[in-house]
Amino acid sequence: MASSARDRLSVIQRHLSNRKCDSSSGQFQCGTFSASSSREEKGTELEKSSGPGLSRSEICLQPASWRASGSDETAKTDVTAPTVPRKRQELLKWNGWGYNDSKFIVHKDKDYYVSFSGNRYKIGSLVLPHFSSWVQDTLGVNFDDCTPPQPLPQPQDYPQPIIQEEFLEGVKTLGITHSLEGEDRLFRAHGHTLAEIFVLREGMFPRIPDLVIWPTNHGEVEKIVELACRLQVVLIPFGGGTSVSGALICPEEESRMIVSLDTSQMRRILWVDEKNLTARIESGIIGQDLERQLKARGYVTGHEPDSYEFSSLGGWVATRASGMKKNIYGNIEDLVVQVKAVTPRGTVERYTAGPRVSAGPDVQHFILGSEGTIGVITEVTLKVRPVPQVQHYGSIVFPNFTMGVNCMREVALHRCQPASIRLLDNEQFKFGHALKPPTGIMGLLTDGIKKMYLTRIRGFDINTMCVATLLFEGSEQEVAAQEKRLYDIALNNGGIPAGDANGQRGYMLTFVIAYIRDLGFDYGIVAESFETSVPWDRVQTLCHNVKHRIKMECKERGIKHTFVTCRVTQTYDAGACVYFYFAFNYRGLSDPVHVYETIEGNARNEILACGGSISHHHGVGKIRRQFMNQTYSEPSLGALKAIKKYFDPDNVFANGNLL
Amino acid sequence: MAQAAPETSSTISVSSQSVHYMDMLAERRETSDLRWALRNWESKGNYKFAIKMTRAEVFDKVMQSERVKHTIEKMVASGQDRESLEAEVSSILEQMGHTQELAVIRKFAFVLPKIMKKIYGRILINEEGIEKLRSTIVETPVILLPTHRSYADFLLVSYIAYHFNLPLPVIAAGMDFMNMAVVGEMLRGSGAFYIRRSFMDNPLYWAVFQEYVQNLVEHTGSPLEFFLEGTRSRSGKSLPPKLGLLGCVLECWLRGRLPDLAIVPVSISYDRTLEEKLYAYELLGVPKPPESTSGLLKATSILKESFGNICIHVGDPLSVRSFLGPQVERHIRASVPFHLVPLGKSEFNACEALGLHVLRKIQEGAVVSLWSLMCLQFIRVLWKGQWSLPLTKLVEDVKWLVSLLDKIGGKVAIEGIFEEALMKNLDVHNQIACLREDGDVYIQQIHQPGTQVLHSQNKKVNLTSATVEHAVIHLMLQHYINQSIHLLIRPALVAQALVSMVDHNPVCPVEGENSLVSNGVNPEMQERFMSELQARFVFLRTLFGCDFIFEKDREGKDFMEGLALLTWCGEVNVVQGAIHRVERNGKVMSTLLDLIRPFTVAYSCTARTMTSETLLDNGALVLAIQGNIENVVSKNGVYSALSLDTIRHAVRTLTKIGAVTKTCRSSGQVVLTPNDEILHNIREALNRIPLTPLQSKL
Repeated sequence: MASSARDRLSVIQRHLSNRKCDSSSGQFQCGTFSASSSREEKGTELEKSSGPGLSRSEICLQPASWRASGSDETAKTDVTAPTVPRKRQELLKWNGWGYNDSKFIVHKDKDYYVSFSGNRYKIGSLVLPHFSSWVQDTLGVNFDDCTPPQPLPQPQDYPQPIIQEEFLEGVKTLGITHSLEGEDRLFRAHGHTLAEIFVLREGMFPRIPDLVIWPTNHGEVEKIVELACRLQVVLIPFGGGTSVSGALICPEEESRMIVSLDTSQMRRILWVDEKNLTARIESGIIGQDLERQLKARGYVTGHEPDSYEFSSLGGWVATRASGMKKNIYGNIEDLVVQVKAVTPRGTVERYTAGPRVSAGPDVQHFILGSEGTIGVITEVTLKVRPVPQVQHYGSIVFPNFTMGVNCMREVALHRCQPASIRLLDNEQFKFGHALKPPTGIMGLLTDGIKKMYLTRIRGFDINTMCVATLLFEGSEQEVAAQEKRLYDIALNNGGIPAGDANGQRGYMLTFVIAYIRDLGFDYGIVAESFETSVPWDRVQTLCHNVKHRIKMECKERGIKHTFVTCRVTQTYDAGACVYFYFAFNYRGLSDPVHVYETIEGNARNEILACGGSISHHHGVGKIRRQFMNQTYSEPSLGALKAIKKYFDPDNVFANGNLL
Repeated sequence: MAQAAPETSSTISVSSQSVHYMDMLAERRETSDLRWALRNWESKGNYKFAIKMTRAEVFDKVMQSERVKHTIEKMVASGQDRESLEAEVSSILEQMGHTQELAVIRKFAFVLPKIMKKIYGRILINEEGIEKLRSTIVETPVILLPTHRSYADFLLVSYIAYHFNLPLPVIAAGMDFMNMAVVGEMLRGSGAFYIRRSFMDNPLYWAVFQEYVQNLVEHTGSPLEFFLEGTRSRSGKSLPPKLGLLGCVLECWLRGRLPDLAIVPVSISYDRTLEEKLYAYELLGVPKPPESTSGLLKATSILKESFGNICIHVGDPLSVRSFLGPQVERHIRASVPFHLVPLGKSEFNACEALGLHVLRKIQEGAVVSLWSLMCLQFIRVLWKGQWSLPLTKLVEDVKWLVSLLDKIGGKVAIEGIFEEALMKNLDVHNQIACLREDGDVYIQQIHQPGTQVLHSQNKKVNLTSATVEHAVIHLMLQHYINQSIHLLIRPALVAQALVSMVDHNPVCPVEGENSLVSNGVNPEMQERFMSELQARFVFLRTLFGCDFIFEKDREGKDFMEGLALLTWCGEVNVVQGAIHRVERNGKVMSTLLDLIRPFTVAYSCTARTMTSETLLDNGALVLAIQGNIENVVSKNGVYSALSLDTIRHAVRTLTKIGAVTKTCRSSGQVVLTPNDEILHNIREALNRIPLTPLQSKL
């Protein structure tokens, strides 16, 4: 879990106190953030606390956690202060992922080594001794061969804006903040697909928004949409900018003025209804701000997509997002009670907040997943929950992926999923170990013993074993019961509980892995992720087939070094979500982005042929439009087109996504 | 070993490149067979994702499969007894299932070289193909598709696997093998599993069979070997692909259960086929002896003879994904449970296209022997009513044929000096032809009247003994001619199309005495001539679709390929896409026409027999056609047209293209109603309308 912040502090403190009572009562699971104890101490403590009981046989591959995140700063500032400023680049990288201060850095000593900077994540400011050799071995990286990105463009480098004077005047009259500056325009011209970042590093988009505006409430958005319709100006809604579907790219051939409607200043929680456990929230708020503000009142939404540090509520709704803890809190469509969106036809909303409504097809579902093609989402009523009492991590190792999948399936069958359960394949398991911080003597020793226990005594093969990471949330008793049930199922499926540290690292890596791509770019590596959902009986073949297909496609193109890995990240009654990472060394290829896109396209074809879907939560955007006709029949697509045509007859929302 | 070195390998010259083949027997002639059979054996290059399963585990998996359970449910619902159905599944599996024991393989590894050393000179194989195969097996399940020309094929691939330490194949075999005492179980122990010849109407068997095969392919990592042609090709040509097992295997990919499958064509070329004589009788209609052990023991007499070399070409692995990918849309059925989706029509067509493609690859890999070309010259001599020809003439003619094949990339096996190679071939086939002191090569009369049991108790022999006397040698020669016929079939059909137009079509340009010249004919007319020519070629291509292997959607390419040879040799002139001159009686033209003569005779007689008559579709029909052919060939000498194989293919195609319509009478009889127009077109295209003896019938 990422934890930039003081918002985690209360959790940490609660954990620490939980742990004390846990230990005294002989319970094993313990808090995971231990700012005070060094890792060695923690390790031995863990061993000691391995008393009797079901999970006493646990083996921790990694005995201790890392340094606690953040600092001990406790001073409470204004919880409603936004994390990301209007000038995004002051906090965030303009040509890569995440915070300016957080990145992988390569150092040259007598050998190369890698560290991660900043204090926002638990691997921050730590040297990662195994990582450089892993990249060299797996991806054939030559650290002497570095291609740094281009510097920030000069003002004259940006495409000339197309200005519709009357619209600009209108914006000024309305008193809405706006900008014509190149940087502001460029930073809203893209999301985070490989191709987009590549352009930022090495080129320039042919078309970027001509104007950026920051409305602050629903009323202003209504006025802007009206103005845009009257003056034939294109609006592209912008939330957190974390799209990975090409959804924010400006259509090159668009000759009208393109206005980026940045929702980030619509970021208030309008009200919290404690009786009904709902909250009305403006759509521009980003995940970490929302959770921090709710937490101050004792609530959470529980919606944590991997991008939640930067992505916005409106974006979640517009792409049908999914959160890590959906097993407890639900996906975005389960969380949304009401949604309000401004379209060229007017505002779409459902008046009742009744928990379920039978009134024909749910019109709110026209908005969910609309990807900015029919309007701007301005306000959402979300369910909220009280902050959970306890949060435990856990992990299970399996001798192979098949057994892991079987276990996941059984867990889903009994509907006893914890907040999160994910199964990492062998490649990702090994990758996780490459990102381990330096280990002390004791750590090495216990690590060695565990490895020996698993491989020698239990007969696990280090090249096939995989790990499931777990996150439990709820009351003490609930979590204890869940853990027992889950580990029982795991044992029945050949799994061995492997401790909380492994689990925790797994979740932390989810956030950090996004940073690795920027490092890769410097050394000729392109990397990307994509995902799908698939019925249970096809999970395994899909994973195998897609990985095989990618490797073969690479081989056919003479690519020598590839890394393909997958994990099962969500479980449902009828299937699972599978997430793939794919990286390759492109030295020697003339057009790596094109090669990548071709391979991903073929991988998607393979996914569809194996019974997988076009996307589980990333959405369609522009890069997956070509697969819509393999997703819906012709009349079904016709209906979608008709909806777009009705709401937006002049194509004001002309981002070209979806269809 | 050292002294044998020059003998251990061979380079077969192909037009521009040469392929290196090594002799698998060379080492066996030097070292102990026993030690060889008992050597430390472990396969190298195993499938990365293999799951080892015992026979019982495989059976259990099949029994527990959704498909088998579902089939049983359905049958129970229609009133059958569950327990007896489950017992049936067990017994089907017991009958079907293979066991693969290294001990049995070792026995074969001991015995086979002994036999092979006795009857064969060398067993040549391209090692490069073996290594490609090995590296493919590691990543992808492999299907081995060898040619089937002889019983000798049966364990050859397994032996190769043992020789090169490849994972041992599992082989699909027909039930008739199983019923052979001892040998049946020996084969099972070496990896054969048995399937009934026809079981489409038995859903339970079909379900068990599919599960069994798909489990093997998906999980075990053993290459699956089967004969795409379904049965031994008696005629020496490729048979049309059988799609049942192929479709079942391809389903693994079509249903997304495997990322890919590799198909490896294996072309096995024999200098001399063990069953050459037997096949000739079978094709004429003398029933073949059942494949019994006693039959095999009788075959021990062959141990005294020499059968030349075997040349095995392991082809490049073909990715099923690359081939089928563009032809099918897998996502449409991907949400239905696997066992509930049979192959759709477009999927079936794609499988057929793949089957045809693989057969073409097998043909490309086959090495054509000089003997095949010699046989063509022999049969032409026989057609002239002669029994011998001077060696010098034979050498000259065959040399010319080789040069012709060279132009189209045909692989002809010539080792060393041409004349010596030719003499070696005569040596191996001295039962068919031999060189006498006078310098002439004499063709032997094979059939000794009275020696062969022609009148078996229950089967009426259709042909007169005089005909059989002549025909046997013709069919033996044809068996070998057919082994190279695929190389020239395209030009031959273009030649046939040209000739039929010249002789019958008013559109054709001005005709000279011996050649056809078109000067000053208007371009429009020439264009029409060309497209008419192609249309006729395509028609012939469809007509002979069962006898010769043509790939789907390649009509245009095949036509251009065929025309190219004729223009290259100068017997047809094409100027700016129009045909200017055809040498009606040119050497190439007449050779090509002779090459397909037995087929044109057989097909036109078949068409004539069917004209204006409604016939019962049964065995008697084929015999009636053969009877008509007998009348014709007794005059023109083209005895190989009597082949029942060809006649059956002709009937099948005629039904397929609507020249006759199959209908089922209430009595259960199937009748064929002719379409005289199409039948007439066929005979016109075959240029056989003015056949004098048949004219009365018209």
